[in-house]
This record gives sequence, structure tokens and C-alpha cells, in this order.
Amino acid sequence: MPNIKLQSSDGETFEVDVEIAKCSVTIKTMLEDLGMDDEEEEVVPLPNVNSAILRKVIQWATYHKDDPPPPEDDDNKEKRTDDISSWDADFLKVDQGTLFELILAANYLDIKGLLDVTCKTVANMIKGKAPEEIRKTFNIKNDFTASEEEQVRKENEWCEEK
Amino acid sequence: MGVEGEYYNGPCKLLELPQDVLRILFSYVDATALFNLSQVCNYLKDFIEDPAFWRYVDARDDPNIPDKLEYCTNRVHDKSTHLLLQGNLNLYDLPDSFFDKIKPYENLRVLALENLKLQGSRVTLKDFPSGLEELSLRRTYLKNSKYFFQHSVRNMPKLKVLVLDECCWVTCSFLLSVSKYEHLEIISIVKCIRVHMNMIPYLNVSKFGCKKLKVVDCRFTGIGGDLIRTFFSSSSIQRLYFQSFKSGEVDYNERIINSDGDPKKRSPADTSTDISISDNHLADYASTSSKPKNEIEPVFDSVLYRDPYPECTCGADGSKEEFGVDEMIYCDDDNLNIPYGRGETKFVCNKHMKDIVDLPSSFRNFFLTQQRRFNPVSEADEDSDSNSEDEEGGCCYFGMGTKMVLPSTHDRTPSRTEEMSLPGEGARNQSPRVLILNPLGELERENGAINDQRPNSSSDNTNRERNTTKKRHVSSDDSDSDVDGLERKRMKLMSTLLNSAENVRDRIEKIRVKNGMPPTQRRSSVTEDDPDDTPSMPSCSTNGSNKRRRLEKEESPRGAGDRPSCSSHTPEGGRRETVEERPPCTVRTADRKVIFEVSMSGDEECSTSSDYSSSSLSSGAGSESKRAESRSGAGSGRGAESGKETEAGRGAESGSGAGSGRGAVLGVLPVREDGGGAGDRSGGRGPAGWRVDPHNNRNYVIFNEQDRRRLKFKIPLRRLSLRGYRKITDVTLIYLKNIDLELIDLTYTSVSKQGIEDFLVHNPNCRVIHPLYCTCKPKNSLF
Repeated sequence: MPNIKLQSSDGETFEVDVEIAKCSVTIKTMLEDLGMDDEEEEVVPLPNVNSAILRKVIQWATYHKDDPPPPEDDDNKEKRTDDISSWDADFLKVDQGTLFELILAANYLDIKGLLDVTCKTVANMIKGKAPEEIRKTFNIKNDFTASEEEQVRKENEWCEEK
Repeated sequence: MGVEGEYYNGPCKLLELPQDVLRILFSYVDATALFNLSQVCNYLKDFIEDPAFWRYVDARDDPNIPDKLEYCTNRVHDKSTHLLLQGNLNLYDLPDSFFDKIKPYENLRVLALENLKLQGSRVTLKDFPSGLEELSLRRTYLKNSKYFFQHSVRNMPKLKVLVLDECCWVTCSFLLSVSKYEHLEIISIVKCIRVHMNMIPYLNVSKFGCKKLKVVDCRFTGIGGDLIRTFFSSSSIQRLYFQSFKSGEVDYNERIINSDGDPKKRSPADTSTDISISDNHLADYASTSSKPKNEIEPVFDSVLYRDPYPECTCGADGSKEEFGVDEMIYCDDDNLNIPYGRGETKFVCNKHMKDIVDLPSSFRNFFLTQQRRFNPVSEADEDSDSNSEDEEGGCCYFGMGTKMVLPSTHDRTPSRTEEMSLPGEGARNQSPRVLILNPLGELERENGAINDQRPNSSSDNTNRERNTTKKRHVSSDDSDSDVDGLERKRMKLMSTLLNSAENVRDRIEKIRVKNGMPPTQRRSSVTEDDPDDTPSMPSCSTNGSNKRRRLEKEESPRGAGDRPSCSSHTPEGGRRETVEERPPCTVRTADRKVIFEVSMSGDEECSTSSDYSSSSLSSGAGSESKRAESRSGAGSGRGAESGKETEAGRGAESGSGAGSGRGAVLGVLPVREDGGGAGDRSGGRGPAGWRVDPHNNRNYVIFNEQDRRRLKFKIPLRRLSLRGYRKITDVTLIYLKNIDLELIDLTYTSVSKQGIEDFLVHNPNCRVIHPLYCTCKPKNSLF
């Protein structure tokens, strides 16, 4: 099995199976575009991902390496968020900073499965919460002025033009 | 700083996400959450205005405040495909302007307006967007609904799914308009309590429409078994879900009908007297077979309608062995006057519970499944019943069982003189051979056995019951008055009977399968068992014939003596009368006449069983005399019995009198009649080409080879729920065995384990929902 070396932003190098690395569409495209030489020791630099996150990503990709490709998105379908596997749920029991770093890394590396499951996790944190709770959960500052809140209310009034 | 539960104090990461990531993230939250997000901060408020978030709008989550509905509705645009709104019936009227707004949105395919109030005087289906494929008005209240459905088909030609669950304003006439929808595949009218039997005429008209209807979910409606008949010939219906009200109350622990409240929510008992489903409603299916799998169009994958039976989650693999007492929840058809949920043991009082619990598990099982076949409503008196009994029964389900009167025969029981005046043997020589399968027989026997334990209870028995008990007493006095001995004998007897019933059933099945075989041979193989000598393997049919032979002796005036020996298996009595009554054309005859009488509730079973019990209980030399004693001791009740006997015999006759060779009579399936007046209704109302004996209380359906070939419907039925209809017995499973069902819900019905096992031989892949098999409850969004 050919391996590939991935280098995180803080300089740490991870050696992983090429097939696992190809979970990431970004890496896959890069390897296909550049051509892959087994002989050469190539190091792929990933300047947007630090070593802690990259380790997590590799862990996730290794576990999911045999998964079928995720289905194409359909905007016209209900997107479920209650179908997170228990392994993923455990995997994502991390602090919020790490969770958002994972989202960013998954987005950068273009790993759809990981992006989906992290977004679902955050979506579940949003769902069922009143605005004030959402603010507290994500530490969002309420920047509405009193008059703006009134405005929001007015805008929502029935059948005024949006 | 955990992900959940605690509030987060670090720098806000959410708003730092790139917009494309945020867009993906928000695509996972529903409209309710979007509404909440819009009030969090200015950035999100503007971001959420993006129309991409408002294509699939599912705002059904709580809280359903008017603000949210307005916000969501205002964001729906002409590219939106789904709009799912839920209101709060008490707080919120959907304004008329809503429809002005959404009407032009032709891309809108799915619309749910649930738990809202609409003004039928101002809004009809014509005001809905024309591109709709799915529409749900679940739990919505419509004032002035009279014209709501009318002429709507041109407006919404693509409609595939219509969910009207819990809409108490929906009446039967809606079907007339709805049936014109060419593409309609799924109708869900769960808990539409004003949809009831009056629907039949509408259905009969509307079945010329609804060509593609595949799913009819009418659980908890007033629709009864006749609907099944109406749908029978449908070449499209794949899933039919019925469930009785009371079983729903047990399942969901909630009253289905709230009588206090909206006066319009009348109890179905007010609007319809017969909403039960019994075996005879399913008789049509006996002549059907399934369409091959590849001919069946898959059911539309609906957003709004969720099948109540998703994948099994109870982990049932195969049959569960024990029938726990806790599971003895008896549900009843609503028109039966059994008090619901009596104490902890539901329908079983302590006295009877003790009897049941004491039984070994296999018998208990058997008992529980069999016992439920009693029909507690049949108050009709038997002709010759003295009515002298003070029926104190009714303590519980089983108590009612003992005072139960089996289906009335008084309308057509021939009087004794009538019987005696019957003409001579005539076609008797060609009389068909009759096999009698009496699954009910065991029931009676067991019941009798229980009575032995409780001698005082004999007073709440009917005549017949009392006879049985008397006979028992005679025999037990003779043989052994020791209770333990009696108990042992009872057990032995029960096992014997159990075996015999299964045996005969097996054989009948075999014969039915190879009905080309000369029945004589088969018959003789059955007759080999002598019940008196080999009590371990008696056959019901032989019992029957024995019984009849005895009867002959007893009632010699009827000239039984001249009968050829081969006819000794056939019941005496009404045959000739039957021939007379019946136009000859209704009766087919045969070179080989095999009549299978699969009777579930007839009368001769009782007599047969009691005779058998007495003969097997009494030992050795004394048996003859005892039998005589028991017969004579029975007195007037005995008379009644013989009357019934002949009646039953006549029933069999209706097929057998079939007499003279116009085609092989393949089978006679009795269509069980459950109550007094019901007889007339179903009389002559069998499926096309079938003959139903309208005179006989237990309607017999006669069919022969030709009919069968002609009637070989191919129907696509795959899922069927009969949950809670206690009049569904093993006979239904026999009817259904040719259909390649993938799921059948038999919970709270009267089917026996054996019946299900037999059914599974034919349909090994069928998922059976039953306490002994899969115990998943049907999913229901209403509870």
C-alpha cells in the first residue's frame, strides 16, 4: 500500500494510506493533477490545518474509509440531522472550538462526509433553541437595538412584502 | 466548554465560518430554527433572507406561534417546493391572504397546513397551488367544509398524496371528489371519525376513479369490513391499514374519541352500528393470488405520509415462546359491549385469570388464543333455549365466554317436524364427503374443562354449556372424583384435542393443495383414527361422524337408517330441504365431491366436542352407558343441540347437496356470521361468482374449480393491518394465504399461533405483527 505524507500547518508530518487520504477531494484532485510517483517521497503541505485537527481528520477518514460515497445533495429533500452514527457522535464530543476547526478543515479538504456530520452536529445545537439560547450557545452578541427588534416584528407582520 | 449543555464563552466561531460553510450548515436546520436564528443578530437575520433556505420549508416544530408562520410564509417564494406549516388550533386562524400569496407558486409540490383553522366558506381546494403533489390537512379544522373538495380535480391534477388524519369535518362524500384525482396514490384518513360505513356507496361509485390508489390508511375510522370488499377487486391497492378504536387506546394509552369537546366528534357507535371486520369480509381474498413482484409499482415516497410500519425495531426474530400474562390485553371491536380496561387485568377477572395462569404454558397459550373466539354480543336466543339461565356472567372476558350464545340459528332452524317430513334419500348416494375442521371445538372443550374446576359457575352457562358440564360431571363422578385426577385428564384431553385439531387442519390443507387426488382415499385415511380407541390422535371429522351416527340412532324417525354407509359422514337433516329450497343452479355437483367445511363458530362443533369429551373421559366398558346417560341427561338442551346439528349439517349440505355432477365442488368455506341480524346482510353478498347461502346462518361460500380459475384475481396487496379486530380468526389467514403479503398486523385479533404458523408456510417472508412475533406498534403521528 502506497503511503503519502501530509504536513500540518505547524510542521508535523503524518504518513497515511493514499486511499485514506483520497477521502479528501482536495488531496485526490491534487494527486491526480500532479501525477503520483511511488518512488518519490512527497510531502503534501496543508497550511490551513493544524496537527491536532489533522490527526482527528485522519482518524475519521481511517474509520470511514470503506463508506460508500455520500449521496448528492438534493435541496428539495428534507435534510435529516438525527442520523449521526454513534461512532461519529462520540468522535465529535469535542469542545466547540475543535468542532468548528473540524468544519473548516473538512471544508478545506473537501471531505463531504465529515463536513456533513459536523454541520449536523452544529445544526442539532441550534435546533429547538430560542434566539436567546442560541446567542448563549455560540456566544453571539445581540446587536439589535430596541427599535430594530421592533422593526423585525413589523417586517414579519402578515403578508407585508418581504 | 462542552459542546452541549453549557454555554460557550470563547470567541464566536459560528459567525466566523465562511458563508458557503454557513450555508451548508443552515441547510440542515428547519424553518423553525431559521426563524429563531433570524432573531439572533443582524448578520444572521440578513443572511437567512437568502431564498436558497426557503425552498424546503418545514416549520412544523414547536413553538408554532403566529409570528413564525408569518415569517416563514413571507419568505416562501416561487421556487419553493415544500411548505409545511403547523399552527395551533386554538390560537391561530390562517388568514385568507395566505392563499392569495401561495396560489401562484406552481413549483410548490408539498403543502402541509396542520392544526390550523380554515374558513371553508372562503377557501376551497381550488385556492390551493396547482402543482401540488402532496397535501396534508392533518388535524386542521375547517368551518363550512361542504364545498371544500368539490371540483378541485382540475385545479390540482397532480395530487398524489392526501393526508386528512384527524379531520373530524371530513365526511364520506369527500371521496367522490377525491376519486377523480388521476394520480392519487395515498389516502390517509386516520381518525376521521365521520368517515364511516356510509362511505360504501361513495366508494362503489368512486372506485371507477382512484385507479392508482395504492395506500389506504383508515385506522380509527368508522370504516368496517365492507370496505375491504369494495377494495377487493382493486388492481392497485397495496397497503390497507385498519385498526379498531379500542386497540388504539391500548396501544397509545389515550382515548381515541374525545366525546367531551367538539359535539361534532360523535362516537362512531352513533354513526354506524357495524364497523367491525370479521372473516367473511376477507373471504374474497381466498380466490386471489398476488401479482408478481415486478408488476407492482413502488409506492410513492411521500414526505407527508409516513407508513405506520417502518422497519422492525423490536428485534423479533421468529416466534416468541411465552405468552406472558402481562400481554393479555384484549381489545374489542367497538360495537361489542365489553367494558374497556377493567382493572389491571384488562378483560380477565381474577377468578378466570387463575384458571389460565395455572395451565401449562402451551395450553395457556392455546387457551388464550382460542378463547377469544367467543362472540360476546350475540344475545340472540336459540330456538329451543329455555332461557332459564340467569346469566350472571360478564365478570370478564372469559366470564362472558361462558355465557356466550353462539351465533343464532333461530331464523332458519327447521322444526323437528319439518325435518321429519323431508323427502327420501334421493341424491344421498352421491352425497359429498365432508371433512369438518373445528378449531372452535377445542375452545368449547376447554371452556368446559374450566367449568369443572368451578362447579358453581355452571349457572352462568348456556344450555349447551350446561350440557357439557353435566356430562363432565357424570363422567367425572364415574371415573374419579379426585380433582387431581380430573385435572390430569383434562390436561390429557386438551393435548389430545389440540393434536387432533392440528392434525385435521394439516390434512385438510394437504388435501386442499392436491385437490386433484381422489378424496375417498384421503377421507379414509382420516377416518382411520378411532377416537374411542386412540384418544391421542382423534380426528374431529371422525368425531363428527360418530356424533352423527349417534344422532341417527337417537332420531331414528328421520329415517337415518336407510342411509348408505358412505353418507354416514354427512350430516343428516336438512339436506333434502336444502335441495328443495335452493334453485338447482346454485348448487354444483361433482364426480368427486370434496367439501371442506372449515367452520369456526358453528354449533356442531360444540356437540361434537362435548360428545368427544364425554367419551374420552369415561373409561372402558362404562363409556356407552355414560354416553347414553349424558345424552338423555341433557334434556331439552340436547334437543336444541340436535336442532343445531341439523342446521349445521344443512349448511354443509348447501355445498354437498351440490348433488349431481356439474363440476367439482372444491370447497365450502363458511362465512362466519357473528351476530343475529348480520346474517341477512352478508347473505348472498359474496364475491362475484361465489354462492353464499343466504338461508343458513353461517353463510357458506361454495366455489368450484371453474369459479376458482375464473376468479383468480391478481391483486397487489402487500401490507394489511387488521389490528384490534377480534372477529378475525384463522379463517382469514386461510383466505389470505395466496397473497404474497410482506406485512400483516394481527395484534389483538383471534388468530391462533397455529394459524399464523400455517400462514407462514405459504408466506414465509411475511412480517407478522402479533404478540408472539413482531411487537412493533404502528407509528402514529397523532399520539
